[in-house]
Amino acid sequence: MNDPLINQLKRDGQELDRLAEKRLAQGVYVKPPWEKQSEKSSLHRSWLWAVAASVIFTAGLLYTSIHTNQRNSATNLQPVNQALIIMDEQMKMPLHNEQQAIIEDLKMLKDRFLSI
Amino acid sequence: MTDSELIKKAQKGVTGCFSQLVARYQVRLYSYLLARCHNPFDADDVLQETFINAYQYLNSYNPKWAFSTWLFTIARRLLQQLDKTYFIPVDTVQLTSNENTATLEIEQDNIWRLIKKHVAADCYDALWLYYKEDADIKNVAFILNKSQSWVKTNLHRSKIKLREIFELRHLMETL
Repeated sequence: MNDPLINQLKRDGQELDRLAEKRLAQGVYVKPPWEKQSEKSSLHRSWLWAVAASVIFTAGLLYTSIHTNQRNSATNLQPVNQALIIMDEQMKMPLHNEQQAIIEDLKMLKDRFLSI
Repeated sequence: MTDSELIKKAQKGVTGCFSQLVARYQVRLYSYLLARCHNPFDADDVLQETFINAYQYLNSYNPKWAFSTWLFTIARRLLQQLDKTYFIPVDTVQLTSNENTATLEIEQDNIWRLIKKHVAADCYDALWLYYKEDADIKNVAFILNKSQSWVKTNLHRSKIKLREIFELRHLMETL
């Protein structure tokens, strides 16, 4: 374009572009919020992943510990059960003896009645 | 990647794409604001606000218009709000760097500084968009929210006025 006015408009406009570029390079404005948001979201996402991983890990630990406990308890309970049965027998023994004594008494009474 | 591709991705939440758009347009927008605002701090604020608004309302962007057209429309609306808040004489425009004490000044003989002194804000914007940004009449009219005939008439009138000033300055320099 040969119009000197328009040429100057463009040239001085470019001069302002250079000034703007210089100021932007000096970091005239604070970090844009959309970048902060993206950082925040990625940080948030990493937190979510960490929480999810820890939940899965804890669940796995719980499962394995419960599973092994169940297996162990099945084998470990055998002597305990036996001890319980013995204890039960020992506890019931006096009752059993008394029952036997009563039965014996009744038998004796029956014999005496029959002999009369 | 084209603007429309970047916009589509940014609309889907890819924030890196919006940063690329910012990098593409920030110099053009900032040079307009530096010359147009009363002080560089206002230019910083309006630049920031423009991109924040663009980011927030990206889903309402109409691809019928260029992205730069939309950005300038937002920036102009913010400038109009700012202009209502205070009036400072144009010649006090001085750019001071935030980073150091060195003073950056728009050259005294920069024609845009001269235009700002002698032409109304709407005409200044029309001249900037048409001659500096190479926007067509339709886009300039959209940004300024004026009719195309208004833009044509005022561009013509502003040019006549500028030519007079320009010639007068040349005359003064030669004397």
